[in-house]
Amino acid sequence: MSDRPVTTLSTILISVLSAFAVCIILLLSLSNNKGEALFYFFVYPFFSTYHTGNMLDSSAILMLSGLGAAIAFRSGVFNLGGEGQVYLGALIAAQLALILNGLTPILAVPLILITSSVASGMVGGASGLLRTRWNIDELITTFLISSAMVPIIDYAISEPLRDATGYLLSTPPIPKEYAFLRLLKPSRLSISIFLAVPICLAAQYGVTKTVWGFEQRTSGLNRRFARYCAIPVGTYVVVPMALSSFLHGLAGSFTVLSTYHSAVQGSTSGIGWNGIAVALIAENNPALVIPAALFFAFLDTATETAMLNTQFSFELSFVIRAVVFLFITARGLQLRFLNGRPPGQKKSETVG
Amino acid sequence: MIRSILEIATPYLLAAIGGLYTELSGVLNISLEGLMLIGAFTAIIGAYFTGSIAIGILGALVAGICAGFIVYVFTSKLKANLFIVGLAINLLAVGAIGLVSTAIFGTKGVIALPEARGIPVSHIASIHDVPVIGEVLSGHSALTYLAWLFGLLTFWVVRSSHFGIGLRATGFNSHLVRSKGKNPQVFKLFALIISGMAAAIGGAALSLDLAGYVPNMSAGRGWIALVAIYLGRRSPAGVCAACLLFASSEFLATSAQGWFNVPRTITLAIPYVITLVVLTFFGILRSRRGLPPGSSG
Repeated sequence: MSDRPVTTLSTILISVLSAFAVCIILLLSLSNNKGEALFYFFVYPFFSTYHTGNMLDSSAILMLSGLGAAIAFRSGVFNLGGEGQVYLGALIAAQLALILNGLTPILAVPLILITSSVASGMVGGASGLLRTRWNIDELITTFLISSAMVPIIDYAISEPLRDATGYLLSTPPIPKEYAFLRLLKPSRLSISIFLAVPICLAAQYGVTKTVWGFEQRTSGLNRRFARYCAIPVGTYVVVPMALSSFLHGLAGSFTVLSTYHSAVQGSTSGIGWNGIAVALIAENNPALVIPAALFFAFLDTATETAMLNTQFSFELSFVIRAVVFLFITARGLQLRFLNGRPPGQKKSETVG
Repeated sequence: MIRSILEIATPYLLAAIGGLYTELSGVLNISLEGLMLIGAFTAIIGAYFTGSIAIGILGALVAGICAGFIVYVFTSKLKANLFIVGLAINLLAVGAIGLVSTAIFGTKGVIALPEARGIPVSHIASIHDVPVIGEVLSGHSALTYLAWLFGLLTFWVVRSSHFGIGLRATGFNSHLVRSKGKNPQVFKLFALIISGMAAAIGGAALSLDLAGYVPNMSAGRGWIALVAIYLGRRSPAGVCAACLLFASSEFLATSAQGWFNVPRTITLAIPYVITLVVLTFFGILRSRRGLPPGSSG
């Protein structure tokens, strides 16, 4: 893991370019009208206000979940429960907004954001505690807790908490005054991006320039060494796990306050997994999570516009994303800037 | 009851024991879920066009080998991140199956085998004559026996064979293997291929049992198989026990639907909750016995 964003940025650029090259090849070989497919994939997302706005909105959410994943990875712990944590954040935000209805937004909105993030944060923190207290692998517990939460929240949204007047499987819409200000109508872009970007930058400062960040990174790189240095390694399991899922919860509340204005069943699906991908592309650098999330959001939007406007099928978008995944971290293809192992392998090798 | 649990356990067992090979070689195999789906689909394709279940299974086998090989090329040769490649295989499975299914059958939905060819997998071995045990053990599908045979074989391979020792050494410290004049990459390649084959057959067991392919029919089983490896503390016997536990909890979850009128969506959470409880229970028990922290995750 390189901590100098500039060096890492160049590797990311190469990754992204190679991924784009693969995209072009795939689009050319799989679509009937090649020119059209390329246009709707690469150009159209930037020339339609609606799509550009949505792209930026989803990038803000991915920044938060990506940052959450990165914070955990940096400390050498895994948070595979992002999916459930985001979903929980969304549900709590939507419910709390309904309960608080009438309260002035200046008080209500921060309260909603904090409550939903803290609730998610506790879920992740619990996994961290299980790890430090009884050495139960957080990689499994986060995943299990999340997988158990998702169907339960699905049920809650579709049955007891459902908005009976709507045809969507969702909770009733939140009071209008609590929704984030929309910037680029008719798109869903709101001020959320101006919250997410500073959070990432602040995290970059936190992990590189503070004692906390240093100790956290040391614990992540070599737990035993950190213990000899009198770093409280247990703390650097629980706190990063809690912080990681806190950020996922925040991402979930953003989907409600900024994007959908209610908790929609299945609407947060993928945010957790894509957050992990974003973090890995960014090499766990908080600042680089910003471009990585933008890239990911672009990929989502591009496949969507290509799908809506050409005979590009839904499945093809999966294939394209899969191929991009395959190539995005293929460091063997790129110049060898880094001689370290990719972060995902560390776990398996050290635990064994 | 035990009979149905054994049947339910088959796909878990195949995927988890296969995944044990990759886990021991130090490769965290996230792609089990996708591998199962690919196996389920190719088995139905093979059986549909040839009318032979055996060819269906063979198809799944080949698809599993290919997928395992792709993971190897990207992670070992191209140095891609293991985790992302695993996610990619899972995505690729969904996408590619949809594309192929649309191209061949004109639908992305359920593909059923013609009725005449349905479920002929069962009733192959005949231990009928053994009293009591015969009741429980006989008349399962061939793949169930295969799964347990595979488990037994793995028990021996991991413990005593040269390959198993090399495999574990690779996971422990690949430099060590290299210093002994062996190539750790070879072990990783074989582990990935074995895991690919096993998970694909696990998927085939699902779809052939149903005589049809239903989109996303693996429904998280690949992930649970991965958990079973950890829960089984990376030993073949432990993994088998963990798989039986999952199968029992799935059985319980299905039954609970009938008993208590639990909403269907909620029952989906039950296997995960049971696993979590068991995992925590064993974790606490183990630390009470005073095993040093960090002895193994």
